[in-house]
Amino acid sequence: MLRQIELMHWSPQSGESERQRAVAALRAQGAGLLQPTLPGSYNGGDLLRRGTADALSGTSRPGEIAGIDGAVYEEIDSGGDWRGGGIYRGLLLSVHATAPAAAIARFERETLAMPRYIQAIRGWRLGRVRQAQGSRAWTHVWEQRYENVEGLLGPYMLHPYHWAHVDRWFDPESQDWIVDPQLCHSFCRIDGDTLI
Amino acid sequence: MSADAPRVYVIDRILAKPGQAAALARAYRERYVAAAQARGMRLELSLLSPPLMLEEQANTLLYVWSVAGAGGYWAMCFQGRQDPALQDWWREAAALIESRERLVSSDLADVATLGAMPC
Repeated sequence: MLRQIELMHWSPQSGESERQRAVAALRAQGAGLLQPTLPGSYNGGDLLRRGTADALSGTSRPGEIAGIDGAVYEEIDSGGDWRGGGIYRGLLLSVHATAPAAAIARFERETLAMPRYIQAIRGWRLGRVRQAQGSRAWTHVWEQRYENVEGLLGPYMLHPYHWAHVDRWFDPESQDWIVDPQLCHSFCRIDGDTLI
Repeated sequence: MSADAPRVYVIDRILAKPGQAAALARAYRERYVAAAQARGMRLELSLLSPPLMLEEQANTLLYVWSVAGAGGYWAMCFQGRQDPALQDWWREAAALIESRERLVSSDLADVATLGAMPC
């Protein structure tokens, strides 16, 4: 099954009432999670929509949306508990086209091992992008569920497995650097049901 | 970021191309050190191995930096990754470098503190 994430950016010309109508129109389409992004998102858009690619393929984007960073992606691996509420976080990243396959494979393995060390991650999935949209040719989507925003901003960001180990793939100063510094880090509340 | 946070050590281990260690050390001092200090990094040690400038063989340079905890690490990264001059430096320095490795480390005594964030 393919999944899809869209980080939607409001047009600066759109007013509050127009945005509310646009959200209502998007919500009427169903198709999965739809929430405003929370403060602290970085290049994360104003609205986050996430569902199966099949469900989102028939939907439209209101004119109030000026741009989208998004991806249709195929799961490499996933785990944990995606049921219930909390916080959804998606990271769109772009691995350099010249990165060696062995390095990419190791990056993927080490990323997927994060929940073993960082228990605040309740559910997780790493996906390879089939179709990218927006400011970069996104190659991976790394998504997680947390019980609350503190789990993301505290244990996830402050755990040494993250900053002293996995981050080297993102670090232009590291010999192992393979990920473009332009990232989309976006998170929002989960409104109810299990995220498929 | 707390000033009381355990120090996190960022170590550059650089094998210079044969005969290039002096030029590399000079370039590192002139082009890298001040900008790194502006990002909150503190230079703890600058080491040369073996401790003489070899002419036709390769020296290893070891720079040991420290920052204040995970917060200091991220602050350093967020500033550096917005600065194209930093990528330019490493790209241009590659002409003097055989290989290099950056390690992010801590004192063994601080491991439990650094990993003890509540879930």
